[in-house]
Amino acid sequence: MMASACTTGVLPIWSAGGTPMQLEITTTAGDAGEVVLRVLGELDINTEPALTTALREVIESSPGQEVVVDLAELSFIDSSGVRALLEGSDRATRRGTRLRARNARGIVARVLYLTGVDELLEIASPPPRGPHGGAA
Amino acid sequence: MAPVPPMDDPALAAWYAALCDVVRRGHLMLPDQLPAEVNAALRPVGLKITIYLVDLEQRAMRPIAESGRPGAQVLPVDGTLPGRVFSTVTAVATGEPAGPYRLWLPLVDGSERLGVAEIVTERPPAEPDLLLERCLALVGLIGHLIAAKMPYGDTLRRLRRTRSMSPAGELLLSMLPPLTFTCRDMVVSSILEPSYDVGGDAFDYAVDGLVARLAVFDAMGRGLRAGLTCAVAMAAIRAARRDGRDLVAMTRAADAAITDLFSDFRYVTGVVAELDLETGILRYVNAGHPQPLLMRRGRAVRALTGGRRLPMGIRDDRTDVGSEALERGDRLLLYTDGVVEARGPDGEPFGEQRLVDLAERGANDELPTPETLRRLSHSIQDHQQGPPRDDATMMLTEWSGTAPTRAIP
Repeated sequence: MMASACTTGVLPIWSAGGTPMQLEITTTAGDAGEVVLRVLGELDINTEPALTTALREVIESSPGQEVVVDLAELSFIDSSGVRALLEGSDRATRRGTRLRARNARGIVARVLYLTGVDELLEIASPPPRGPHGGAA
Repeated sequence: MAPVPPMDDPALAAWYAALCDVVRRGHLMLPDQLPAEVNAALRPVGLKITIYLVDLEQRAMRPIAESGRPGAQVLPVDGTLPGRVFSTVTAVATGEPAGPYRLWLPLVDGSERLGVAEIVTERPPAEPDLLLERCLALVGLIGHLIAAKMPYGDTLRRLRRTRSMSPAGELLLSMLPPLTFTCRDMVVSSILEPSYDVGGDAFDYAVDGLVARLAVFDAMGRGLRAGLTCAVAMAAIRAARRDGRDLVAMTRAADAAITDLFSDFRYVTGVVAELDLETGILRYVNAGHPQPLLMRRGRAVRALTGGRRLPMGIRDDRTDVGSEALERGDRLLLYTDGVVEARGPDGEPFGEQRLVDLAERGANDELPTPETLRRLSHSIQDHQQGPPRDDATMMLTEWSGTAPTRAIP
């Protein structure tokens, strides 16, 4: 069911290399009544304020409602991006609900696994394996 | 007991007097007066010394200027004889039969590589081995003297810099211990890039009795904000460590310090470890950091996956401590994610496999531990070919009786 969909943040930002880096956030309602934020693009020090703001608005405007961040189309995350997810998770807990993430892949899955934030956000996918049993 | 040298030997008495004079002059000398004062003390024994300090990127060595003497040239570390003396921590003598006799000696404070010293005598010595032995002792003393004098002025620090330091770099560098420490059973050596604009990376260690405590840190974000977060975590961990608290308590002390001061969910990833130098038992807590790499007989045998908790600054009630039994000769590589994420011009990250390959190659080259690390770090920079996106820090610890002998002159 896709009751309503709205794009809450499109932030085109020019990265040092000259290619535009942007983050697009689409908010939809999930099948079980949760709010789903689909995050597309790259989440770093420049783009994370958009996610921080979106999460704050969603959690504060619909208290008690579970929030899911879908990372399927996120191609990059750095420590600032992880911070945004941690802040959202803490806010959700304080509002009596929880924030989960799903569909992390590639470098995003690796960063969330290494920091241990994957467990906090209840990401179910198995950790990526590296050449010596560690994170890839 | 060693035989008492005959002090009625006038040459030996002159050497003894010269060494005493160096120590005596040391009390009042300014850092930048060091070459002139040492040369004044060495005049009676017919030696002239030039002291070169290596720059922070460990690529070239620059002479400490001495007024009234022509400036000596800058010496690259790679591809020169003095560079080889620096990198292998091994003295070399050169000289033609008729000309002056020249010794190049590694300049270290303990085992911290500072540069090289060039000592020239007018005539070839009658006993070259004896001269070398005496010059090694002299330059050993000068290495300690430079380290002792460095904090009292900016001249020597400036000489080691090829460009200006960012405030974040200044903050973090002031907190770091020397890059290399060696004792009978262990060498620990670290390297941190970029040397002048470090953001949130740092390392720390302390060796007391039979326990070595090791740590690397990587604070989120960039610049001075990240530097400050890292400094806070590092100070909290040091305070807890010096209070005799255990690994879990150290990371919790960092949690408390970060959350007391900042409310924006900033965090520091890191590994805090302790190695028993008698048994080789390594215990560690990994706070959201890349897993330490264990190297055995020249091969990377595994990543250490235990002791996990969330990054410091994010509350975590777990008390897991990882444990690993090291064998003599094992190497432990701690590194921050800037090492494996350093991107080449094509955008391809350096990657863990490349780090493993280069670390394995380095493990078999029989070089001093700090030199293995210097070459590893330069390989990463060569891959990157440009300003790094993130700090890259490595700490290599070698638990063995042979590595220490390679790290000192």
